[in-house]
Amino acid sequence: MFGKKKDKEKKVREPFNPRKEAKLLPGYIIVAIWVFFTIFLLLWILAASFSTAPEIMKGEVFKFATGLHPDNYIRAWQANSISTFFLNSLLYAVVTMVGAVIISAPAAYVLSRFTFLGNKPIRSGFLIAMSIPQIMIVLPLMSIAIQLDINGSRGLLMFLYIGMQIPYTTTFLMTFFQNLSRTYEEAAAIDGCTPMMTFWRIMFPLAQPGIITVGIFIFMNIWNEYFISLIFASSSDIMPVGPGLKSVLTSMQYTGDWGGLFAAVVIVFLPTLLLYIFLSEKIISGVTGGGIKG
Amino acid sequence: MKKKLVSVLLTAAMVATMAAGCGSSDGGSGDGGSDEGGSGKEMTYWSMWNSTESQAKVIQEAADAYEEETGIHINIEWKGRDMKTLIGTALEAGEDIDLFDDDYMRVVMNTKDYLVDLSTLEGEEEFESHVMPVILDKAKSWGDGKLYVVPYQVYTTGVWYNKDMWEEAGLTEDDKPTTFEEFKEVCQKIKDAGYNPLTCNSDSVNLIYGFQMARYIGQEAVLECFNNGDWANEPAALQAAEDIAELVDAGYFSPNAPAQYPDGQNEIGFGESCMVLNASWIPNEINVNTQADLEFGFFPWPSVEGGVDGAEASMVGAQGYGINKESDMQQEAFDFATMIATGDYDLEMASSVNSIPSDTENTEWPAAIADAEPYFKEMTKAYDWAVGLETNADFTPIINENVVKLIKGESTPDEFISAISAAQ
Amino acid sequence: MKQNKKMIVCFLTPALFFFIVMYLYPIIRTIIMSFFNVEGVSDPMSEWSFNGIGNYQKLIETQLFRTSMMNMLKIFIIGGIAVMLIALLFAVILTSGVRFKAFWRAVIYVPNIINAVAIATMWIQYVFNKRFGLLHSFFTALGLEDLASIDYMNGKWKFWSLLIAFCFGSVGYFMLIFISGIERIPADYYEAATIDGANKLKQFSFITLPLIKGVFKTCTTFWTIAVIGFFVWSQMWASPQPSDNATITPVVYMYNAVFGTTGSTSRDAGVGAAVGILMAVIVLVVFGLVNLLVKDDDLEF
Repeated sequence: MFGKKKDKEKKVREPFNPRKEAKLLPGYIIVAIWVFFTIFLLLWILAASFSTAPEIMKGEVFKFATGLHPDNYIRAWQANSISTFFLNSLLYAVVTMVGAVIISAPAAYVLSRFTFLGNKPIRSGFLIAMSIPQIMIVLPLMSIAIQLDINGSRGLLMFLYIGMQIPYTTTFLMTFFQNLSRTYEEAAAIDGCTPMMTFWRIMFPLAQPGIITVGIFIFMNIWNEYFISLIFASSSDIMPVGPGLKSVLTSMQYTGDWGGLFAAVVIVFLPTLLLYIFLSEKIISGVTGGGIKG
Repeated sequence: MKKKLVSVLLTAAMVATMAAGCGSSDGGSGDGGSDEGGSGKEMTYWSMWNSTESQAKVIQEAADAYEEETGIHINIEWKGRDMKTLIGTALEAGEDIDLFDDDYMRVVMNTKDYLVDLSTLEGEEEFESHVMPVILDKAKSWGDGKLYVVPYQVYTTGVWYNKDMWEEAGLTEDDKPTTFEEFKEVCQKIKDAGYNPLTCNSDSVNLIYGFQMARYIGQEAVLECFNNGDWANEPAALQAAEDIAELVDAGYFSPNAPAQYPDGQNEIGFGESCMVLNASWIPNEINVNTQADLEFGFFPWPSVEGGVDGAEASMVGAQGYGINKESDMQQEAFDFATMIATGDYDLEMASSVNSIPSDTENTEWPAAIADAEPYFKEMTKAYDWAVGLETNADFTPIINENVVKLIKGESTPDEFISAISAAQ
Repeated sequence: MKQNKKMIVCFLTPALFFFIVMYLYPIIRTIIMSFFNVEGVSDPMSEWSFNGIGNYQKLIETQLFRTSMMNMLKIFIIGGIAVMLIALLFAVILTSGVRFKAFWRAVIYVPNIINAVAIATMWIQYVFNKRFGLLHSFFTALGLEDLASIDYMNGKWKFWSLLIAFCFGSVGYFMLIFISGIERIPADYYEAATIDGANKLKQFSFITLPLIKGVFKTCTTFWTIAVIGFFVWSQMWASPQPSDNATITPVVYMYNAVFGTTGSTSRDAGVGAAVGILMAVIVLVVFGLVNLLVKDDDLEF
């Protein structure tokens, strides 16, 4: 928030000043090279995804000598069940986002608002949970899942995803509730609202900016997740895009379908990229303004 | 603006939760939509092929015929070569798999704890009589005398070369080398003709080293050295490395070798390189992958001076089906597996992917690999894959990396030996 | 007050339930498991046999595991220094008053929002490709045949290609953290320094650096977590094999050990658990060291 405001001020007060810009030139060059490389990489992949294998092999993807080949996308989408992976990921990401917020927000609220025995240990527990490597916990989780015979189901994967996001989400939202004034609750209490109703009706909506930011984060985390799904979702109908894309890649590489391969890559990165293009301010302020303190 | 966004998100969430409710209820038993009619019974088969490969087409055809006959629908998940990284986890996790396939050695060695002993099933004895003895013996030896795998698509290993290029280099059938010295002469001639004599993929360089070392001392001794980490005291280990280095120094390897799979083998399809040491699926893979239409010749890895093994010893193997012991359709899975491994479907598999027919009663070899047939018939000693150099998970990546460096010319034979001795 | 108590319980229970099932119980069980001989992950405790520190001993004696630790250490130190320096450089440039700051910042962060499998594929199949790759064509165009013929995906270059690709993707995230740290330094500090005649470099080393010490702490923490969990990149670089000597990391080793996926009969969940414990201990040690070295009283971004 703070950074954004400053940006705007600058834009208003600064006319073009050649001397100052010249001083900044080395900076511009360094950043521009990096940015150009990134954009070029993405553009090349996009172009390749509309080309044919021989064109890619010859390194002539930007010529489009044989025209565009959108059929690469059709092949990638259908033949190798990228469509299934895509829809699975969408489902997992949305459910996790909602589930984690609904469970974490109340917890964050009471942790930030009330002092009670166990408050501090719980907070530090969440912090530890955030820094524990995943391989510490997957083996027992797997054995529980096998004993309960719930392995290989979407439900299990969503449960794990939600659980994995809770420490981060709770810690993140705690700062938001901390900054809300207590007068809201006092007013609500006078109106006869119970504390729980107060939370859902007043405090939860007030924390909306934080909730949206953390929601986007969870969405991206789940969309880009790999390790957990590799272990808990190896069957194709429940696989998300991460391991799914890897299996498609091996197969397309094997059959020499380079166009389809790059189309599959584009299909997987496009949703998060679009989300990012529209919400980049929000996301960036989420990274930096977040409540995560090491 | 923000309100709108939240309401969109919430609606999406509601829809998703409902979808999740439906989704997870049938999550356990695979997708329920595809079994229309029939007995309603279903079997899940994880396949090592990609859906677009010719093997997949034959298998799909067989699966359709099987459903027609028995009413049992087979859900096939085409996993491709990722199988080897996935199957251990999946079986451990109790995934709903009745049947899967992979290299038959891996099937038995890595996963036999999860597999059903086939002798408990009906028709196993009859099936055994259709399996090549050399394959059957191997499979049983890994399974402590029991058969855990239904082998199919048998392969043999040797040097495959592009016949046109071979002729262009002034070579004939009679020039097929039998000794390492002759092999080097052949390489020189191909090099003189302007091609790279040899290429290889980085994931199969162990074949070259394994073969060369086994030519000196045989598989038994190679394995002994491998298991005891006794590389420094085995002269053949150094000698084999020096031989490979000699090929490298003479420029017989493609400058790109060893390349990432499948880029190395594809060099033959692109007309850049001539020979590759690999299994009999190579001609088909190269032609399919590069849309080339090459004719392939074959000769066994040459013998060496003072060595014990020659053309009579080769790596043979097969792909194989394993049947999950947790499956309640073991017999059905076995019937389907044997349907592919024997009879008409075996023949069809052999002819459509140019592989060796695995049923002993099918004796007709596809033309594309026919060059290997006489050698295969005379083979008396069977090596394991990579002469057993890939049987230790903690060591295989190390030896693999060091052979890659040797072929890239990044390390000398002495460095090679000290690197792998230090590792064990 | 009673109502509050009820609310605290109701609101905390679901989160605590997840915490106990997904963290507390698994952590304890993994710790115990690492001291036992356990073959399969799902084997009941009654089948475990006590093994003391045998699993750890076995790990330390295994060359491949030592290699994986070395690889991780190299990623942590070399990659860490490179990423932090580049990120800091970008942060300083972007806070020095350049135009289109939001655009530059957004693009540099892009790799972080793309699925790692997709990003890794771009690098492997395009940038490092030997036939039509970016580096290959770039060096060919410049006539640098030696550089053009490097095989980045095999042999001695393999690890470095992995490291470069991984670091490229990580810079954006740390840059954002540095930027926010720098922006929190009150502007009058710089104004005062400018009046006193301090140049940009001096301002950087005497104002910026000391005041963002706390940010370094945060960055080290995040970098540690990222490197300890290093998995998908390593698997992508080893593909189609399950692991590769040049790029293997402890998590990949653990995955292969537990699920026995690589040409070996031994599945060993106990050893896998021991790898997990070792990684957790490393995280704790690094955090402890960082806390010791960087005092908490500074700005923490």
